Amino acid sequence: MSTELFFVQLVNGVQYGLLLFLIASGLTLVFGVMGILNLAHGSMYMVGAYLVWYFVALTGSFTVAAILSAVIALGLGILIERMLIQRLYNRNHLDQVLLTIGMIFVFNSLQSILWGNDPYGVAVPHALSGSVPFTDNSSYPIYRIFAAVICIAIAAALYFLVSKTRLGMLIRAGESNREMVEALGVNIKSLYTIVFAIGVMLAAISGIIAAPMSSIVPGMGESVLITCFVVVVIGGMGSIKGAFVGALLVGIISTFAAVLIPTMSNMIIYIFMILVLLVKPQGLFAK
Amino acid sequence: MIFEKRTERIFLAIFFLIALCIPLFLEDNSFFVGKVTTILILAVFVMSLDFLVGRVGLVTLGHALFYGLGGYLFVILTPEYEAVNFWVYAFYVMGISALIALVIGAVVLRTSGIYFIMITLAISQMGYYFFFDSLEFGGGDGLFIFMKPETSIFGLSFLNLDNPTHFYYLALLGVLITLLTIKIVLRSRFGRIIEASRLNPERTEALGYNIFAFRLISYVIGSTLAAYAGLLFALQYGYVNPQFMTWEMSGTALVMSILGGMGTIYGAILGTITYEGLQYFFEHVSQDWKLFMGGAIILMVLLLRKGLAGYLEKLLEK
Amino acid sequence: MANNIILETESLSKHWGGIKALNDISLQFHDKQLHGVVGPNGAGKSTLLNMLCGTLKPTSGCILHKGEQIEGMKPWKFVRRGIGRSFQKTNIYADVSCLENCAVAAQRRFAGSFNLFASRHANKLVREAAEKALHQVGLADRISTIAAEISYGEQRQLELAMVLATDPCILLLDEPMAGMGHEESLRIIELLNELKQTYSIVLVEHDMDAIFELSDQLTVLDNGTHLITGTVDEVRNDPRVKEAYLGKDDEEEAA
Repeated sequence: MSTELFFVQLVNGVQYGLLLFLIASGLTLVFGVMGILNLAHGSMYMVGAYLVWYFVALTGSFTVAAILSAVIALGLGILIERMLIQRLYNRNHLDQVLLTIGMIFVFNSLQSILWGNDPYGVAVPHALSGSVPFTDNSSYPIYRIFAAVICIAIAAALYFLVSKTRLGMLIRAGESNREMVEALGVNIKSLYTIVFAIGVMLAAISGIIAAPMSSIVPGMGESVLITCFVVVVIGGMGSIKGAFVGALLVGIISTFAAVLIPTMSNMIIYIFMILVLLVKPQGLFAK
Repeated sequence: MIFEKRTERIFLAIFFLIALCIPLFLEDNSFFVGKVTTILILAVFVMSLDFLVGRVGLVTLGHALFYGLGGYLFVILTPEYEAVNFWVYAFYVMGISALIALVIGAVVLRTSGIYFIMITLAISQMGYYFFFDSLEFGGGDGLFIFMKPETSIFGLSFLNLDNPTHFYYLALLGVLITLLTIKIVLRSRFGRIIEASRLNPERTEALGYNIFAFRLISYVIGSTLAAYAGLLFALQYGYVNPQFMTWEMSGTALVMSILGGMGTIYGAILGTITYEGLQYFFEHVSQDWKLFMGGAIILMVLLLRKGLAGYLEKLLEK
Repeated sequence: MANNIILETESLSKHWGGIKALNDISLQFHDKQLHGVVGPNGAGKSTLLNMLCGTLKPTSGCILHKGEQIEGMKPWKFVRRGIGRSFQKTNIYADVSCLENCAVAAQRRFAGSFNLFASRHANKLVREAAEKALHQVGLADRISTIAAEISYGEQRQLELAMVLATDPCILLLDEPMAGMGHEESLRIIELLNELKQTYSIVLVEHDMDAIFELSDQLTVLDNGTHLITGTVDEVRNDPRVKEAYLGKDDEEEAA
């Protein structure tokens, strides 16, 4: 493999990994703080993508569409948490699995009803179109750089939120000791609503960012969900830092595998996950 | 007393009574008989999952791997245009599946909790992609079964598997045998330790039992039963493809089991019938059956805390 | 009266990162004796018991059972050798009957547990052994009651019955009287006096009356170190022991 190809694939892998991190961070945050395994997390990613497609078609502006979609996703997250997720707190994991699978059904069929099953695309916003020269023979799309930068920015914001703010302190406290947080006079219900809404937003924003880079098709939520799970398990359930490292590893490995061993590329991340679990049964950064 | 609960005895009595008579009422409607046959085959699959998840305490998201293996192993082992003996080859398929389950189980049972869920999912995904990306095994299209096997025992043949009604009774027999097998195992001395390991693994280890061995054997039993179900399904429609072993297949079976009432075993039959019945009903009412299905699932989780069996038991047990 | 040494530790230590839970403990437990282990909180008593039954692996040192090294083996292998253990935090099968609790414990002795077909209720010996254990601890009238429904004190008794049902040689008892009232404690003391005749017992307890009455030998641990082992009188009069306990009291008074 030429050095040039290597660098292109490395950058691709990192950029894919960063996007994966964005999605996975929401999943692991919700699980770590609330103990809820939200199987409909992938559906939120799908919702973000479909919404931005819809609003771009409506308004012609990607920026407006992105903001609208994010806001709607936020509202959706709050609604879902208040109406459904709240009732799961005292139930076991299997009931959560069942309820969130029910939600997947509902979202998938709503997608089909509202927008149909044809594949859609969102054009790269004009200001971010084009490429910059990267190596002697290739150039790299500006939008992908933009996507990577946004992911890093959000990752930094997440880090800042969790480690430096009061909300972040409550989140970290809530992860290990629910009663203590309540004893601090905090309304744990509101905390959970906020955390869940953040999780949904992260998934939806990933969908929004990913929209111009991939086809918007039915089932896109579920395929991303599985990869997400692999990332979170490799990183350690509940650890955002783990999700970051896990996402980058998965992104880079699957990108290179697609080029180097195309017949086995689908299986490679699962083999990798099993290897990690054999050495570190709780993931790389388990709590 | 392998059926201890009154609700269980009532349900099973009614179920088998109706099931025995269905082909008699539907002599001309082989489509419907076929549909019910599929439900019976799925019930075997879901019962085996209910055993593993609900009674042994092993939450696996990779159970469909064995469902698919049942079909694939049959096609791989048998000559294309020859009718083999069903009983002999069912034995081979189950035997090889058991060996595969032994190897896989020996690895995955070293993990627990959410990691066990994920590693079993990973392995079934690997199986899926193995067959999907393969050229020898039909890739995404899968493989076909051109000749249904014959069912003679010592020269006496009484089931013709091309006849939907005969196949139906074979599937029903499968349900009965699976149910009895699981129930007998659970009531046995082995089952006592399995129950103890699920209720309190630490305590059970402290009493001198090697829990790993008990779980491994249970995993082999559950997986082998799933392979049998997969074999029947492949034979019914004459094909096997990677869709047999997707995580959606495992997830759907889990939904059916939880819906019916996890751990009750008879609930698995109830859950399968209910799920398939609801899907059939919604499909005919509207194109958007998934919406209603999802809504029904959500409602059931919120309202029926212990599944349908739990609800029935509340009504019928004193 | 030199009884055989049935269980022994040599320079046993357990470190968790920087924390030394147990440091260089060498003890001998004799056959058919009750050997008490006491010490202030955090002395390492539970850690010691956990290692003697195989739940924890030592960082260094060894454990010898009848002269053979057993540290590092899986917990169930310890049980097979006849080392039984009761838990400080009640650890029973809450959702089934007391009889079933003891039956699980007893089954291993009489019948192959890998039998997939014989009904669990069919073996009379298992049932008899389970009932005998329940009788021994005084729970004869609770045989069919669900374990979750009996009182806390009775659950501690059940905890004991389960160990007895495994017919061990050595009993490792972790605060069997924790949380019990006076009368219940007396019953346990009486029971332990009886059991001393047949079993070797290592008893960790905070109830000093019980310890002084029952112990043939007494070991005092403090902060992970072995202070002294001797008869009850030897230990009671040892100045280091007084300081370990009284010293702690002074600190608490000053605070």
